[in-house]
Amino acid sequence: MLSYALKRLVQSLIVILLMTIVIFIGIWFIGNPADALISPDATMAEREAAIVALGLDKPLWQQYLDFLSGVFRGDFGNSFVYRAPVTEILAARLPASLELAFVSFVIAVSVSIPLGLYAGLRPQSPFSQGIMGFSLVGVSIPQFWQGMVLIIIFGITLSVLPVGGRGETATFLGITSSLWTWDGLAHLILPAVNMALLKMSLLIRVTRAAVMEVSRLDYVTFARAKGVRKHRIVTHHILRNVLLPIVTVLGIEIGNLIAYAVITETVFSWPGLGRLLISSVQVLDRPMILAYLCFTAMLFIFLNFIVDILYTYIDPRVRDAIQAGGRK
Amino acid sequence: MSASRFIHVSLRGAMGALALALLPATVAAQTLNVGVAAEPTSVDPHFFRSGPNISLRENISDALVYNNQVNGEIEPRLATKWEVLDDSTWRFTLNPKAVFADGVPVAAADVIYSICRVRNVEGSPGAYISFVETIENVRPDGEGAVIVETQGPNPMLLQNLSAIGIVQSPSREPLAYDRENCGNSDWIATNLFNNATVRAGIGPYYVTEYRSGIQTVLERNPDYYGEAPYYERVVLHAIPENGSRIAALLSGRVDVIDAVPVNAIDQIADNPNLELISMPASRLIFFAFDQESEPTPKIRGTNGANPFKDVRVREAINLAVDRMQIVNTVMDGIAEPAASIVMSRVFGHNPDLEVLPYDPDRARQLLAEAGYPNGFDLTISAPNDRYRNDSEVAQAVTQMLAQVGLNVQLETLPQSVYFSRASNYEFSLFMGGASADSGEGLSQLLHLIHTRDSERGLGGSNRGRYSSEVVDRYLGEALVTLDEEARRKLLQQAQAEVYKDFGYLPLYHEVAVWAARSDIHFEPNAAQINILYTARPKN
Repeated sequence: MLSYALKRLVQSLIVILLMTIVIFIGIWFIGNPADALISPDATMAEREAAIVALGLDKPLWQQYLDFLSGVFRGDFGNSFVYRAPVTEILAARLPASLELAFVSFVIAVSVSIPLGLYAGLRPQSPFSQGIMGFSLVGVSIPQFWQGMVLIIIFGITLSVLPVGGRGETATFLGITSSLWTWDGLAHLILPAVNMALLKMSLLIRVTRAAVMEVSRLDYVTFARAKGVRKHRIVTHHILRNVLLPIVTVLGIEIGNLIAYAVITETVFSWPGLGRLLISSVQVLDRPMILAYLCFTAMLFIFLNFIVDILYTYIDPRVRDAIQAGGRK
Repeated sequence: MSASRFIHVSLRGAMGALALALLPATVAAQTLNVGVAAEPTSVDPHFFRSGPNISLRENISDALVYNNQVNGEIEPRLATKWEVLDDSTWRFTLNPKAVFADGVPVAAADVIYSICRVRNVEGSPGAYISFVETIENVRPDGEGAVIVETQGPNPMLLQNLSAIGIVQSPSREPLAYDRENCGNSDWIATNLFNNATVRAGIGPYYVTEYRSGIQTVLERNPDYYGEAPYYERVVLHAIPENGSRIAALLSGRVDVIDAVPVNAIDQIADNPNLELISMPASRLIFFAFDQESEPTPKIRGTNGANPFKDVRVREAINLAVDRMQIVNTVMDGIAEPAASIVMSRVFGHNPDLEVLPYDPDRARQLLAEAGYPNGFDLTISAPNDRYRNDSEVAQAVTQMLAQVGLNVQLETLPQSVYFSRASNYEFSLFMGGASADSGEGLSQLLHLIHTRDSERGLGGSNRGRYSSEVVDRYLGEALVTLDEEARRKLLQQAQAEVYKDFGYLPLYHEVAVWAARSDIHFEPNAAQINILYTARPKN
């Protein structure tokens, strides 16, 4: 198990290293960050000065080596735009992203798994048809538009919920979050629902498909023939086997919720990571883009790792396979 | 209909009552919430010369003088009066009532420190250096006065100084001014301004919290020497997405928004609770012709010749574009058709020049005379995220040029790519914008129509490399002419010249638009700066 973890870690580091090279060359191809940063009215002398100040006068390979040596010292550099350490800026944005991801995750899971289960167990019932129709709508409506509709209905016409921004924060158990205040929660509802709707639709479909597949299998039929109570069949025999694909999807989706909530964050002016990425890309704020993508790469690798560990608990066959692989 | 309205009203009433019950009333009444399209990248007044930063500085860090962007007049700020001792020596009397956070009045040492710091902001991506370029020396002159000496006469000194916020020098001893670091190595770091450790000078407001991408919180400065602002607290919310900014205003989350998008104008105008506030802005939106490269990158079918070197072709293109139609349809009336570079309210405007007529027949004829009866292949270039409706305007221009027989295509690019390509001379006919950010026409003309000369920092935005000896002579003379009327005349003559040469394709001057709750008075500004200290409830 340990050697498996180590192998995964080394693979991940290579991936991240390659990614940083791609980003460096990519941005170099796109253009000079100095031009995106300085006013178009600036004189040539000011432009030159800005290029020197940002360290862009050095050859690309040297800029890259500077970046690498900084990373080994734990320093990802300063943002071109804010001239503050990028790690500080990321850390300031992270709580907002995490709480939004958490709430929309809870909404999505608590709604979609029971619904998906029901739709899978009774695919013919009118309610199930309704669920599937809902999920189709959820998948096909653009998130941006859906967010705007939510704002117009709940924020402007009914005026019952705030339309954007993060609410008041409070500190509880050493964590500063807007989850602890009513105002904070009120601000969270619309963006969280906006993000959850799309995930819900996906999760309902995955759950339903898995349930339908598993409930046709021999051991379910056998259990039923044996006279096992229906409730027990669902919880012990079906749900356990359905979990595997669901966990896989969830692992990826949590990462997406945290790192790529760009659309929701833009519509609801939520101060999270996604908006930071977009605004950084617009002005080619290279240190910010690099740190951000390194962070998200680590996040996805970590989540995948957690998913793998969960597999071993859910499905003994996976554990056996990994251990066999580790002994080789 | 009436039932739903009733529900709507009663819900709104109930929520309002709830909100009142929960919130301490004073906080709600004294805070102004502003939704801004672009946030300042720093609180440091000398860090970065861009609209949002300049806008914040105007409210938190007074300069020696204030450049009233409405009619270009210079008003006193930290300096109560100023006099020109000789062509290159100016004396400023400082306001003894202007005190920093510690109660110490502004002194010559602070002025010297601030002007010197402009060159010494670590990591600043684009500073204010060109504003202090001509300053040769700054020295104290007795108690409460400072003398500024320029390299030769500089008629724009007051405008230049109006852009430099004065911060408090850490030491009372004045530095000995030089054009580098004034013998000082320890400058206030930018992040001390950002985390509110050090105030950015003396202003009607000061920043208590700056969180990039989220909000900037300003608190009223109780010791301010000028008129006290009405609102105790102002919160600038960064809401770059247009739809979200409008929604924030409609829902009452913010009281004022800036940069109202064109497609929301009607919606706000129809809403009785909201009001549009607009003012013609100095920024000219234009297309520049590449008048240097031969062949020019984006033109085909001319056997390698650059047709834009021919004044007849430039005239044809100028006549082929219907400016009125662009303003009325694409910009929904939120722009003013432009005849030349400097707009009507800015110093240096030439009232004799008229907006060129739309005359496609004459344009075709001119093209034929120039040897292009069948036109040529042209790709025009424009940014798609820099100016209001930039790509839509470029599309309209593309179609108009196609109608006079050119085979035109359009490429639009995000600004991060666009401007570096434009600076590399990769375009032939390309969109640009330039404002009179010093509040008068000379700097705008120097940037746009002076021959490009990077050594002297002239023609910085003249990427099409229009070049005319006559224009250069007029502008060169204006640079050293202190007499206002004579200088105005020179600026007008320079513009008449570029008008005659069809050196540019000027389209329109932008109109800056804000939207606010109709019970709030908000002051518009031609430089598109958010002036927060005069905002107050009406009555």
